[in-house]
Amino acid sequence: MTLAIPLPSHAVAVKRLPNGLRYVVLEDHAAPVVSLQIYVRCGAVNETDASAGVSHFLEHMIFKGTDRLDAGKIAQVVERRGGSINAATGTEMTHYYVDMPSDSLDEAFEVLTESVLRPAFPPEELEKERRVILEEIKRRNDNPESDLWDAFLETLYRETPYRRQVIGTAASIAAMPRDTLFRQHHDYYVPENMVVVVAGDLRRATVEKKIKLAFGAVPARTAPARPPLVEPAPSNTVLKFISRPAQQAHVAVGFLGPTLQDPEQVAMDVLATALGGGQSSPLYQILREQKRAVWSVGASFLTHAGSGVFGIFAECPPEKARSLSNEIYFILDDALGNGLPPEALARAKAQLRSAWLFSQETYHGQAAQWGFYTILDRPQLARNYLKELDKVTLADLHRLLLACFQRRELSGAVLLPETSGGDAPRPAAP
Amino acid sequence: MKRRILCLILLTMMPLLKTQAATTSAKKMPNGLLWIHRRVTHNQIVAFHLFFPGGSSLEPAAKAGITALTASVMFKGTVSRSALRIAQEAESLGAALDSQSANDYWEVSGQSVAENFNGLFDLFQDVLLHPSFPAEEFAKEKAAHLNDIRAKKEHIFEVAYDRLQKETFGDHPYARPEEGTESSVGSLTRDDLVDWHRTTVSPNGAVLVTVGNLPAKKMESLLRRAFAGWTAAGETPAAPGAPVYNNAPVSAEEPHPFEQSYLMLAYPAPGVDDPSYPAVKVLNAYLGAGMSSPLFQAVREQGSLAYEVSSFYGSRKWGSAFVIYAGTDPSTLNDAERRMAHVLKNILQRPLTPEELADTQRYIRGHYMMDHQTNSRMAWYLGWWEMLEKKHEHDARYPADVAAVSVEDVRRAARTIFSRPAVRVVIRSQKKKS
Repeated sequence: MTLAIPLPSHAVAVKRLPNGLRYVVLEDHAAPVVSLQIYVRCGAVNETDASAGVSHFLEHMIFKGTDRLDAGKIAQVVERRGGSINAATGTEMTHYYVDMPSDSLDEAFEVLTESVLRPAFPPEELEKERRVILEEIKRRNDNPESDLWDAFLETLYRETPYRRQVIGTAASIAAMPRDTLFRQHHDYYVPENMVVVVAGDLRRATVEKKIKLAFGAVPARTAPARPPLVEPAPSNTVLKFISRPAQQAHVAVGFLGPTLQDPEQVAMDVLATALGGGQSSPLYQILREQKRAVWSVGASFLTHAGSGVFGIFAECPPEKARSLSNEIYFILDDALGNGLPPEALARAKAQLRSAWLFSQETYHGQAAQWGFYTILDRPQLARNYLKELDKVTLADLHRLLLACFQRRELSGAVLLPETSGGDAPRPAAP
Repeated sequence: MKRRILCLILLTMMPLLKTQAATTSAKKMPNGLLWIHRRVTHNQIVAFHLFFPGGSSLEPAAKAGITALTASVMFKGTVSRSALRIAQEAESLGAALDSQSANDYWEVSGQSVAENFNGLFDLFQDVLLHPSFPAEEFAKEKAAHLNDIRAKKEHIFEVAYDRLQKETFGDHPYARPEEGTESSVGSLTRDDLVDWHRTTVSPNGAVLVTVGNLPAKKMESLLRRAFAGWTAAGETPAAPGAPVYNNAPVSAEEPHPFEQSYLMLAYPAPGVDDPSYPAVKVLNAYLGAGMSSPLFQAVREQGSLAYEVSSFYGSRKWGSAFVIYAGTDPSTLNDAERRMAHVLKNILQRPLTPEELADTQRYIRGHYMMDHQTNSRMAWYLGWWEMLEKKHEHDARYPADVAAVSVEDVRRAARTIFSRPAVRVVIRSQKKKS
């Protein structure tokens, strides 16, 4: 496939300050908007049982003031100038962002960097935010897919901390001392563990100067060693059954995949799209259209710095849920035995290529691609994703399916509506 | 003085106009279709949105959800393409093709890279004009649609909002969820869909918006080829008119097995045609949009009572509602409600300061501008304003309308809206303690 859409003409480079902070500045003037994003490599994988949820709690506290800024000031500064501000914490990174009209970048830059680098953790604000997070946990508990997701990760990741819940538990949040938050910030919010990306209607030289000024004086410090992130091959597979109030059954099964540093990373995206990325895929055609076993089904490869996971997610009538994992097994087995047709490969590539290009339409999307891959130490993919996509062959897909799926039963979780009865015995293996 | 104010407005508008400097043309086609085209050259994506007026508000109560189900089955087979072939072709082109039903309109939309747009448009016109509604596909989609209706009950917001709509709008079609109910969808037949398609897929009153790096001439010849045989249908169903609101407070509670409880309040509010529409938009943005809004500050930041608290004011043709909501622990629901009431009392007693007004106007303008970054969103806005009978040019005028709102306008809007009795819906937690 040829690359019909030229990438932005400006050269994009990941630059590094002497203290280790990496930054990317993308200058473009199609719309009078900018996106400022700060990534910190700090998430659930950097926690213990006692500190479960600290990275997410810390993310909330970043908005609660510094010695120079009152709580809530950061949001006020951004919103009064027409922007939006938010943050998200994941298993291995925390991501802060401001999207706003470009004429107010200076003010937004100042308050966001000050807040991320120098939070004050006011005790009174901390107690108030603790209660907010406990409400957030209840809200999450009300969503059946949260239970499914937690169980799915726990069955796939037995050793590595990817199994941890980002939000923590009600007990860990209720008991978390201020010092744990302070320590997490001190340890992980260090220049070598952070990436700053600014994209949009800006002058690159001016913004680079601003980054140097704001972050250059932060002392270099080494973040704690990363935990092992490569999941050992499991000795067995586990299908966990959950029972809770729900209107339909939910199923999530899958297998482990390569790390982000693995050259096969993009091929895993193609494999997931070819098997379950659209309505012409075998998972959709067989399970929904032919067997009427599901209401919806899809597959995706979840990228991690360490072991990724290939997941197949479905919603289905409760009576179909128990055997669905086996049905999925046979579809994967058939793809392995008979191979995927060349048209399936072409369709998957076309879908991924378009999805990538659609995501680049906003400055937020562009900044997020660079931030994600740079913080996880593979910035080349932000630049070369489409070229890597072009290279993927059917042989790659076959090799990966064989290596990762291995014709083993699938691990994962089946959530059944309470009245259908959970904790059921596992159905017979295929 | 007036000229100076106008200059100020134009200066404020400059950045938005920069995005929209691309040429926009509008043309009424011989069959009645209004076609709007905007050429943008900064990317190679082409997007379209085809809007039909009416949407779920034209549906008879017994057939609620028919628009959404018809749109969904249209993608499942034409006289010359099977459902599988439609999916294969769209995916081979890397194209997105979708439909959506709303209160005042329904739409089919799509986008692809420019080099694949001809293929996408060919597929789109076939799905639109020649659906065959295969019986087997109808049965499958109907079952899936019914499950979607049931699955909404897994989400506390949806449960609360559906009840709120019902209590607020009474017999008006706005009272019904766009996807219909289990009973209305359960009774739909394939013939119902065929009839509905014949009646509502008419070029008369429809608006097609295309945005991308394609010259208008090229797009027009594509259109003329694709829609050569498309002519106006017979009479469309009658529009519903304005809703009749309750003159007395309404309070409804439902027990559900959620851990949180949910409070939602609705106040009758004007439709987009009302002169106070921009002022109500400002009122909503001030009260509940963003982390610095008084509602967020009172309920979450000071009270620590909720993670989710906000307000919204939907833009609707015939009348709307100003909605305030929060999800909270059952034990603190009353406290959250008191704090929300206090915020509303404050806005009635103390008008916005000129600074607060200016901040809120900048907030709306900034978000509006940021939401115009993609070709698809640009196309959507142009057609959406047409559906609300404000004409596509209103897309460029709207920020100026907001900028022209005064402190007095907001005060008047608040008094009008919050002096009316509210509809109160509580979803009460009934979760068993584990």
